[in-house]
Amino acid sequence: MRSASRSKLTRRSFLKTTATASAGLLATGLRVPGAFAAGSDTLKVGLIGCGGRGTGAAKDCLSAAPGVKIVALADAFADRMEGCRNELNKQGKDKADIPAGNCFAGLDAYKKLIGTDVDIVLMATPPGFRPIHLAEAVKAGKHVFMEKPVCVDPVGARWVIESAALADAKKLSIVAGTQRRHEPKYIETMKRIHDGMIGSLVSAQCYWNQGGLWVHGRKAEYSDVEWQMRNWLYFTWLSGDHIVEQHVHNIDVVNWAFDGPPDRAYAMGGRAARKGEQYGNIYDHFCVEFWYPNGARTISQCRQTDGASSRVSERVAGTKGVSDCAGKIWDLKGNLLWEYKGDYPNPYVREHADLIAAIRGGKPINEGKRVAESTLSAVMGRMSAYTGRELQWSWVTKSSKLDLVPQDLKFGPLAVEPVCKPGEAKLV
Amino acid sequence: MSRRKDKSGKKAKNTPAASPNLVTEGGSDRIKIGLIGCGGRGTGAVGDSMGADPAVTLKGVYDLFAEKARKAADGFKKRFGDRCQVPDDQVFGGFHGYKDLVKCDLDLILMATPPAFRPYHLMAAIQAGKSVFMEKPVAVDPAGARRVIEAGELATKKGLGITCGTQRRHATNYMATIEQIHNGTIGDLVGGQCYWNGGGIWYRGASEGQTELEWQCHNWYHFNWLCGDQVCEQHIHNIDIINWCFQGPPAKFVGMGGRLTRDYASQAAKVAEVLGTDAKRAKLYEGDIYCHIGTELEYPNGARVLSMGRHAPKSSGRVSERIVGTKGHSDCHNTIWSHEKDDSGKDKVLWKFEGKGTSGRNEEHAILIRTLKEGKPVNEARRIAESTLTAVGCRMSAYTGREFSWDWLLNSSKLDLLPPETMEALKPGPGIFHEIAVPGKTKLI
Repeated sequence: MRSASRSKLTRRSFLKTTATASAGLLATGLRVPGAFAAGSDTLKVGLIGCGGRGTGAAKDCLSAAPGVKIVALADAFADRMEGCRNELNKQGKDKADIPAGNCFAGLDAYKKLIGTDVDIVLMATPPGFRPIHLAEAVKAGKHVFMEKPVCVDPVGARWVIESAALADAKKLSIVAGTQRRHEPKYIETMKRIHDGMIGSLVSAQCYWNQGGLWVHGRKAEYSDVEWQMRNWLYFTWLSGDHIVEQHVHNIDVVNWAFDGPPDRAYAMGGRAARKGEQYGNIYDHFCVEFWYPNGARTISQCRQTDGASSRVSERVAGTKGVSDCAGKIWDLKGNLLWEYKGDYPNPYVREHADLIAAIRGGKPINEGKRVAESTLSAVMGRMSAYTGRELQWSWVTKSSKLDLVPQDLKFGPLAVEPVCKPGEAKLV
Repeated sequence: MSRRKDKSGKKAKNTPAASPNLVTEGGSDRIKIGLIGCGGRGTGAVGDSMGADPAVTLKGVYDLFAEKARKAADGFKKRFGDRCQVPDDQVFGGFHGYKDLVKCDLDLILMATPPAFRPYHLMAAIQAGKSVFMEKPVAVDPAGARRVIEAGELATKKGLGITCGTQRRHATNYMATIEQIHNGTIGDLVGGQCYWNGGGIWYRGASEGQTELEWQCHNWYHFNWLCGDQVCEQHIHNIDIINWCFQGPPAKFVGMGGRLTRDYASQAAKVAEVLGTDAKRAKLYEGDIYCHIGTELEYPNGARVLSMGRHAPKSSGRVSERIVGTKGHSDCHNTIWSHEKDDSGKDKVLWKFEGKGTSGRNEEHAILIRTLKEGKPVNEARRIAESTLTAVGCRMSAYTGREFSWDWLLNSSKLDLLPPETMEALKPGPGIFHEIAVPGKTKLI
């Protein structure tokens, strides 16, 4: 594992800026950018990260409310940006009006996009970049929708939490792509769990066990950095590993049930089936025990293995009953106590609708800290598996110096870090 | 027949037909034992058995390596004096020497070979009318577990006793705690955890003159067909406790695992050198077991339990069990806590074991001898076969990446790593090697 010093420069200068910005904001009582008195103005949206999820997020945002327009795009790669632009143009001029001057490519494209007059920035790049993108956007006074996960290491998580605090001070909204938090069946179930319908929580499980995902093969013209970024799922510094990249959804639901992150993680994992070079340095399975502050120990399992059994779900058990967290509650004998019977709006659209409503209503919502904590819960699980060590939340949040994203990244050579092995990988 | 006569040829006292193996009688109260498998655990078991009853006398020994059996007998002689009476013609070696041992005039046989052989050894002993103490685990696959169950049923018919080396079952502190759990002190069971996460293990080199198969049996922990992987060989202790709490095996398995940290390349190369085999075979000598397996066990009442087994250097170790109910939770071995906190913010203690704790290592022998004397021999075969099979299920789920049910595992799985014809044909020569399992590719059979 790398223990780089990205944060030393970038983070310090960021903190200095944020302090100035909040002070200035509070002193002058500036109008909150993008707060719309009449709710009739068009919200201008820029997208950073023009892959499949980014393009999907842009469409979801457009479906979420009228008066929303995509006006700027940024991606590290011009071809991805162009592909997204063509796709979004199909939505019509009133929804996607992206002039060539608002199309940015390259590693600094995000800065240029944030420098435009967009009101909302959608972020869907690999999560390694999220902390720096979020900091830049909040500094510039933009509202943010960011895909999960939002970092890949503890340094990144701290940074996101600081940006979220600044967003609060600036009355900006941040919504994260943990869409279950915006799904009525989950929301209604959680209300009942928090109201005590299943008693005190004593056990829980969550899973994301599935087959493999896409692989982006290496081309001769790619530099190391370009190949790793195009094939980003498989490099821990970019994706955080699949426990972070994918399973964070389920871990977030269990955190939701327990009203906060776990105290400890004790994990194992490895590469049992997916061993080729194209799969970088991530694991293919993790089995984690999380301890929550009330003493409950939970199981988290995730796997990406073709031909293996699949399971993607959550379950919470209490002293009086059990729930799937997603619409059903049973007593301990298996009798159904309650079932969600409401609507099933598209949660991917709903999360944008909630953001837009918050902006237009002048009632900011800010999920930054919460999603940073859920991301860091997953990161803690990964770090425990990589090192074989049992980890405490307090250590991970306060003391870990793990900082995986190279500073001053440029397209060029970048060696792939070896696969971590317990007993060899250093706990940083 | 001869078994029921003592050394002087005097016929044994009348005993109930259902319990032919009663061993007490006036003037001849020696309990004649034999040992199958003369490694560290086997010699330990003899000591435990000797400690359990002063009448225990060792009469015969068997090990794959006859020399090892002989040395063990000499060692016992020094250690136990007259209580070791092993004549030269009751020292056996080779892959099939156990058949000769079970024919000897013995009351009880202790078994501590690698678990792959246990089902066959057990059946041979029971067929020969001997009671058995056997080390855990007792099989490495479903076919083996079924053979143990069958042998156990035959033992019941013949009035023979069987206990096994899951010593926690006979430890006073565990017994008292589990009794509280069964009596409802923690309410209905809703979850649990068990772990055997430790460091690395031994890797045994080859000796001059050994064949590949002999060396493999000597270095058995590294081969799934011999040991059943770590989850079976070691973690079974903890899994057995959870089964005990739930009063039976789980209904479902979802396991995952892999091999990251077992690096034996240099030792394996040396083995190839000593054996004089092709250097390419050294890869096989590194073994095929995983280094970690994490499984969710779902019990019939719906409770889901985490099992973790690992060998990894410089990692956080943990060997324990925990059971969670609606009213509290327990460490299974001496304390029960409420979910409610006391004034200091810690979980309230509901019950604590106050007696003297034991390891259970003597008692697992003593109870066998005692119940044989009483004519109502204890028979743990089915229970230990089920716990072994639970651990085997964890491994099979991890190896294949597949979820499956207990019913399928017990009744339909055809996995048989050492089928009878292979067992019958074993002889010094080439080893038996399998590929390291790959989830999603390794077939679930």
